[in-house]
Amino acid sequence: MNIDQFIKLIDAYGAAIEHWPEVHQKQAYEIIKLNLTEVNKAFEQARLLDGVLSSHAIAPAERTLFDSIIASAPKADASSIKQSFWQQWDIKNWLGISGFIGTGLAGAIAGAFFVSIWTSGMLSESINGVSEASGTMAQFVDVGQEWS
Amino acid sequence: MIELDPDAELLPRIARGDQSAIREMVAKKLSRLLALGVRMLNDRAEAEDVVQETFLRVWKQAEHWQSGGAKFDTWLHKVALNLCYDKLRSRKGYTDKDYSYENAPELIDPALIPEQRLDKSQQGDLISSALAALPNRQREALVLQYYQELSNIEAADLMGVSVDALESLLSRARRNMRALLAEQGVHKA
Repeated sequence: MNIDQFIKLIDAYGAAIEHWPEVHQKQAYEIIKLNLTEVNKAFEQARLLDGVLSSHAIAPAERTLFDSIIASAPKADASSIKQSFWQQWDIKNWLGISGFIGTGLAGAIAGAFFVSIWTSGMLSESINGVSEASGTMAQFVDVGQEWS
Repeated sequence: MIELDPDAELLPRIARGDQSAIREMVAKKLSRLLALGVRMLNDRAEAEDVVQETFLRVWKQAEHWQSGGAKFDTWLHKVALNLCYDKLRSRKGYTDKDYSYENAPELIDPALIPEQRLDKSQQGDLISSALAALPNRQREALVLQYYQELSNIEAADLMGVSVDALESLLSRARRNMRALLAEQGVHKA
């Protein structure tokens, strides 16, 4: 960036270099550091105008304007709330609910399976008349029976 | 890298009538749009009309908004500016000024700080008058770049001009403001 380019840019964007296009900022700071009369004059002119422009404040909006804009906005009617609820229900909750049901169902099936294996084992042992647990008892009973 | 649009998330919620999203959008944009309108029109009542109409367009557009194109804030400025131009054109005897102070003598006395010479209210009125006296396109460039703090690319895009053309408009606007303010006594000639 040469001096003419700097002056052209400061004429356009003002003295606040941080508001210049980013691509020019670093070179602009370097030119300011040179402390040249022409640059200083352009910078001071721009700074003064910036000071005046930035003093131009606009009074904030009145509450009535805010309220009337809000009143003009779309309202969520009952059907759209209902639809929205079910849409959200479908999207957000279906996976969670189905996951919960699926997990429960899988647990129930697995439980049923093990219970069925266990009970079928007991049943077969009962049919044979012995189990590991009941076998000991049977021996104990048998011994007792001999004492008598 | 795709730049995220901070306003886009609110629009589908606004379309569903979500009151918290609506209030958030109004709180975010109302002052900004009002300032744009007042500076473009120099008439607060007209600026308020523009702001109300702009929000009506937002409510209509919310359900059709598609991210990935223009930023919502840029679109919002475009709508508000178009409405401002409608207001300007509807004024009796409307003509866009086409003058320039490019050859005016240097009017600023750097030794004088304007705030020492006028109270804030007087100075505000004089700046409003000077802004109103600018040709429309120059005023638009200055308002978008300086006051609305849009980037040069966004402002140029909004105005449908190149960045070079924007810079030229800005230079002329600032030069004319200096001269107009000096004429009105903000700066001593």
